[in-house]
Amino acid sequence: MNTYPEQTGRSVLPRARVPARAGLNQRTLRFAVLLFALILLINGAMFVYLNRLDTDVVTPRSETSQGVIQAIALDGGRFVAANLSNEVLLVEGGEVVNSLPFPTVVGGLAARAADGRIYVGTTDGLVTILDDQLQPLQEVMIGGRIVGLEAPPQGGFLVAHGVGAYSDRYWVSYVPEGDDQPAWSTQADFTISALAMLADGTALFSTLNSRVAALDANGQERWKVTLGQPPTELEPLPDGSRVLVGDDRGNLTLLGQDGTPLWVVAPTQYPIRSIAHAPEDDVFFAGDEHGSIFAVNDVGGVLLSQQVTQGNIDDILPLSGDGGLLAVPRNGAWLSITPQGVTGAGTAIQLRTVWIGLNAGLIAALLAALVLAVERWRRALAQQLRFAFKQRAAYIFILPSLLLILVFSYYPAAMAFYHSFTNFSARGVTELIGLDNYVKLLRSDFYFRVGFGNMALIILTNLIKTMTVPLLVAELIFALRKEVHRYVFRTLFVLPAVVPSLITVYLWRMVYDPYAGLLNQLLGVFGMDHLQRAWLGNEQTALWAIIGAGFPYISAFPFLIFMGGLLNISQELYDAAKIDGATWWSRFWRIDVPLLIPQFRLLAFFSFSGAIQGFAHIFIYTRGGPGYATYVPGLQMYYRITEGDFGYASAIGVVLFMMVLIGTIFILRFRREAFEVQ
Amino acid sequence: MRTQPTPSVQPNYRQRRQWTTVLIYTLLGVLLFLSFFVILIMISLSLRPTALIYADFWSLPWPPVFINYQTAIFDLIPAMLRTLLVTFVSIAGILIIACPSAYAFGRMRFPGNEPLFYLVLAVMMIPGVILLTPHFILAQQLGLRGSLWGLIAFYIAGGQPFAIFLISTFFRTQAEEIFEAARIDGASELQALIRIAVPLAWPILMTVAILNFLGIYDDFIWPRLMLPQTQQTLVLALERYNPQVGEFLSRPELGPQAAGYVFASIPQLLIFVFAMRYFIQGLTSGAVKA
Repeated sequence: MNTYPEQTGRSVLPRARVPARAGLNQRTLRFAVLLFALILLINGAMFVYLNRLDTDVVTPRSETSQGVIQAIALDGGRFVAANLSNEVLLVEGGEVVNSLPFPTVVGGLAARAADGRIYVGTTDGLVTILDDQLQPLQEVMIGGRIVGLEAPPQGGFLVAHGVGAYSDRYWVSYVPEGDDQPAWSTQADFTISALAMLADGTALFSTLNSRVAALDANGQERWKVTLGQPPTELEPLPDGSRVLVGDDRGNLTLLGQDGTPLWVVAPTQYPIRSIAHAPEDDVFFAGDEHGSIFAVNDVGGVLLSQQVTQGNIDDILPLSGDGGLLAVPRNGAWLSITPQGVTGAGTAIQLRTVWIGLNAGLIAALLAALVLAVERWRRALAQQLRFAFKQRAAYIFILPSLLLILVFSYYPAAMAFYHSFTNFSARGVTELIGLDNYVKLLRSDFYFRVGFGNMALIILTNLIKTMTVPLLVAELIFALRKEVHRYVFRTLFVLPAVVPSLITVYLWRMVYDPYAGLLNQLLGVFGMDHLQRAWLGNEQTALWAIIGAGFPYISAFPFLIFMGGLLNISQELYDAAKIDGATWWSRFWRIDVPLLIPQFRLLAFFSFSGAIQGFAHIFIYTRGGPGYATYVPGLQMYYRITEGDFGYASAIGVVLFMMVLIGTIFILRFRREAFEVQ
Repeated sequence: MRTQPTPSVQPNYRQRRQWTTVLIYTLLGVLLFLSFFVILIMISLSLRPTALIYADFWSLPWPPVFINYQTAIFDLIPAMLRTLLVTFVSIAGILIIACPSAYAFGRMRFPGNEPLFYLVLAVMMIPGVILLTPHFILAQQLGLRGSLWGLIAFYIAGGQPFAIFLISTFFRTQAEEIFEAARIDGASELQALIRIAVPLAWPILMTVAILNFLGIYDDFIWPRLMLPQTQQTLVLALERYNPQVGEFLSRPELGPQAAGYVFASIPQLLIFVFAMRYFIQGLTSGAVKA
């Protein structure tokens, strides 16, 4: 431990005088070495263990899909599948052994392993019953278009059918074995998106208005629940105690017996296309539209998330026998899923989190031990900590401000950059898209190009407006001899600033009014009626009307800045100029302008960054119109935000930020050169 | 005092200077008139019924009619109250949160003082334009959209860096002796802040308040993104303000509109009357330069 006397204040002696060995605390150092060994050991052990756990959950099979949209397992390693060419295929031993074409799109496919019956529902409202060699046995006319079909173990079939998009003319019907008429038909309140049936005759269906409902064996509604997103898949457990619902936004929701949601996980952002349950391991498998397979356990823990292909995973089928499953993608090789591997993978994911946390903790401890081991650092640290603790009031004082700044400034600024590399929007799936937004913005966005040109003109005229008239007025007032007059004029010229700047915009909008606008009235007074027009409604004049607003451009801010600058110039310089017989003109150029350069620079900065960032007045004057005549990038960004197109809006924001940054650097550079000249 | 003889001046010099003086006053007068022209027209319009404005634009508002003000003020009072609430609560929040920070940064020594201060100052270099989109997203995530309090939260946070910068600079100039004396008397830092530093810093606090008032009172884009139609601030309400009082269904009601604009200028007028001193002093001191 520390054997040195408490050190107060700083020693004048160089620290190097202390013998090197004495500067190290042996015990702490030994502790650090021990920690280091521990880190190596734990990492090595984890590495070996995790490698052993990593068994492949998903392995490719010999079957391949070409445009398969649905698949069902029969017994004996045979499958029946429907594809985009309206064919039903029989797959056996990895080969298509038989196929049957249908005249319209297959909307529902079901099969019962027990009797080998295959049910095919098409969009012309017909359900065709086939035997296990695809030989037609019976046709049942249901009507509407078939959107879902189920073949429950007790025989017969359950069918969802209806007409129209987003209509309430959809029904769930049950046709008993051998019949050609539904035993019951229940109307759904919206387009049906998924269908399922249990052994006890309970029918489940979901609709596009985000509802899931259960009907009893007689078609009476048992329960109904509204979820956050339209479901795409329903997977009940055989005993009906749980239903897993996959939806359009990649959420998996587990419903209890009476439809109460138990938990929700969002393993993906893409629509869920298939769900299956592996009973032996009690794990649900889900496939999404983006080729990923997920495994979720009974409490909503995501055990596996693995992208295996590019397109839809259209079906996941439980295989009889070893408890394995089969994933059928739209295109490409079918995949075997080994649920046993997933439990290991789940452990691995959990272990990995612990591992990372443990490592971080140990490394922090190691660093702390190393710092503490060096006597000098230890003492400095202790001193700093004591000092910090003594001044803890300061940290309490700055905490609220710092939190606000971090949350409302730094975090959003970082997010702006991040979002600009994504297609983040109010709808659809957020993805990193690299520089696509910028490429589109700078190369092919017509509105941005027009807006950029307009903005350049506005920047230029803004600079001229800020630099000329306010300076002229300041010089005129400065030339007045009577102090009182100076004061009165100064106050009078600042007075218009009592009108808030946006009210000035409203006033100028009135000035340009085509009916009773001041400008048209003035032109009328001077007999120039032919020049009267709707100034803001005309493509030729709108932009110049906006630029012209505010005449005669004596804003309080630049005026006062110039005034202050002039008052600060030493009277002796003026006296010397007078003695030399300098005219007002040459005095202005030789003394005032060079000495006002700091003021020019400040105003250049403000009017430049103001012109890039300000678009509220353009929004009020013209909304960017007529057409796109007064578009500016800021306004385009605003519209993108209101349309919910946040990624693109962020990219515009970043580009404008870069412009402000470059402008600022340019203005600061200009300062250094001005210094060098002096 | 003896009058200075001016023998070296040429005979026509005095005359020329007089001409220059006349020219200067004339120019100033013309520019002043032009500066006020639109404002005077606004006041004139606000005092005349719309029907008469359309009949003869240029006639004088005599005798003045206050019916426009009656309409405008009645319509706009809720929006005005909302705006004043937002503005004053935001300013109070900015000052209450920034003062302790400014005090810590300006007057207290503690590990991390400088880096943290630069962390605060650096925010001023972030232009608002890049923050618009992420602020909108943040507001939605935090559920701050649609309420005045959400708007206030953003104003308070956004006002921090500049307020901390100005106030801490001012605190730094305060004499150490007073604080030393307070410490000897057993005052805590909080007491020193409330009893000594803040009361002596009124001018700078006023400046910060005014600058924030000017920024918040007529902010347009951000409230437009944040607030629903039913919660509009004053400038939002004025944007499409066109009360259907008269018979000019297709034409703007210029009279009440102008009255609304005058009404909206009153708070800023009051601020200027009572605090213009601080504002002008601050800007003409010559200290403001890049």
